Amino acid sequence: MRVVTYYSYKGGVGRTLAAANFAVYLAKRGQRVVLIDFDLDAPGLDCKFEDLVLPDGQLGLLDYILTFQRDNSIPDTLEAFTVQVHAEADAYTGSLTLMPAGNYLSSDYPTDLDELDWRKLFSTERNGVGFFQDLRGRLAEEFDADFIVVDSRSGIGEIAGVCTQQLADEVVMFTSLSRESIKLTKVVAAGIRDSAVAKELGKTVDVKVVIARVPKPDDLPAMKDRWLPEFGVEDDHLFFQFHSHELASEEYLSSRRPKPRRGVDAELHPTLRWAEPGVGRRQHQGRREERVGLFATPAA
Amino acid sequence: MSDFDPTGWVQNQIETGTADLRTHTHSSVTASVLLRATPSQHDSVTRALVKEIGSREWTTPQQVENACILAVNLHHEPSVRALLKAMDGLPDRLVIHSELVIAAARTYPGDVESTLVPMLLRWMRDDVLASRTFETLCEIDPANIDAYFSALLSRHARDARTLRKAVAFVLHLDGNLDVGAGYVRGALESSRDLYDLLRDEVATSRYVPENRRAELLGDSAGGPPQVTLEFRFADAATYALLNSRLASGAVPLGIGAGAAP
Repeated sequence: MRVVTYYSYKGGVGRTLAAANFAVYLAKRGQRVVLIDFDLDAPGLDCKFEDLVLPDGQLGLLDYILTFQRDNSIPDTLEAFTVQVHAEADAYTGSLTLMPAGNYLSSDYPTDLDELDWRKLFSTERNGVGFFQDLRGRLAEEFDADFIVVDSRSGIGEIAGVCTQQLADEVVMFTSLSRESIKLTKVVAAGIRDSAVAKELGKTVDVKVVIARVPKPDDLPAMKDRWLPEFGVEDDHLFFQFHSHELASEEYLSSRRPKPRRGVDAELHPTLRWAEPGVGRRQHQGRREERVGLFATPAA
Repeated sequence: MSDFDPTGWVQNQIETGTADLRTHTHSSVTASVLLRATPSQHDSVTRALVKEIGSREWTTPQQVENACILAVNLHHEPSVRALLKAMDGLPDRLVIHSELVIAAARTYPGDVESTLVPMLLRWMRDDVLASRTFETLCEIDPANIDAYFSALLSRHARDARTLRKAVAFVLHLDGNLDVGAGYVRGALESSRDLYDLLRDEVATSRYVPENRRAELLGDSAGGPPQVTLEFRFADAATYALLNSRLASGAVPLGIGAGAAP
């Protein structure tokens, strides 16, 4: 089981859509996936799935955390805090389970969110580190998960810290080419790689950077050479997601069988290189992958 | 660190150890040959030194220590690496090892993260004089003392002697009580077991000013830690110390630790 966190220092770079796409892609290839909406301040990951309507009163991650915060207890099962994302019979050969942020359209959600107290969750009264490691284990066992995909909050606050350092084995970091995004993406990526928290958990988090929604250049190697030093990442850890007018979310996240399309810049997501060991990139770049809508392109 | 003067020491060895120079009886003398040997002879002399160290037939630990420091001072990289490798298998000589490791770290700083720290962490996991190994780690990589202290406490949570020595060390760290106190407070708050084990040390340590004892023991912060929830899929004790360090602010909960501007 592997936990992949999608993170961006700033918002508006397509992080949530990419996380959902990645989860769909994996589920369509037989993987059992749990997708978590950890953007508690701006939830809405469920909206990426056109056929999914959360039931009234649906519980989610915030409710699960607050149960622990209030009572120092953990529910026996995660069933009430998750929802299955269904597809046509032959669309998902694996499974896709969504843990939404909570019932975020209800009037109670802002009040609950205000109650969230990170200082109490990590205190002498509550072992927050154990709690989130336990959550990893519960998701893996209860849903027999191959992957947990986490959509993180942006910024450098507590949620981003938990998502990138405590939960993640790998962080896929989306960024634009704005000045502040470049500067802070480089700093934050280094912070995650060198995280003392991760070290104490016995791991080093693998950080990949995806420059999002840029025009596809004629000279891809030159583009790569231009940006590698700016982000301070290894040659094989920088990726581009090319802008395309074809990237309407309803096309790419449909739970139905997608219609064939031509001319879409839809290639491999970086994390898929290890998703299916033994299957080379070239085999992934056929039309079927294009239809799935995973469009981050390895930097040459 | 020793106040060892390699030049004077070698001169003394040359003057007084002519016979030993021929037989390579003593490691320290063998090392002095290194200093005088031409580069083409270094490897063979190093092999002799390594062999002596491996046989544990040296005369005194101090001589071997001097030999190691001398080898490092020679900047003869194959010698240093061969010595480290030979000593890696002799855990009962850690006091000597640590001198070599510290000297190697100063001479080859690029090796600290890649070679020396992993080796010492392995020694600490194997209970090789854990508190001394911990001090060596602190010496060669002071930026990560908190992580090493955490690793030591996690591993030796029930070893009162090791804990006492480690606590005394961090409290004395650079003469800065606030730094050491932060580590100790995290340990005290992390679990009831650690609190019980460390309480006496903190209560009696000569490094703790009287007016700080109550604070460290938690009298002003609600006393000993509460009994925490038993997790089904995670060992709470394993994560208690990290949790306490996050709680105290010693490690940030958000992203930022280790980030280079």
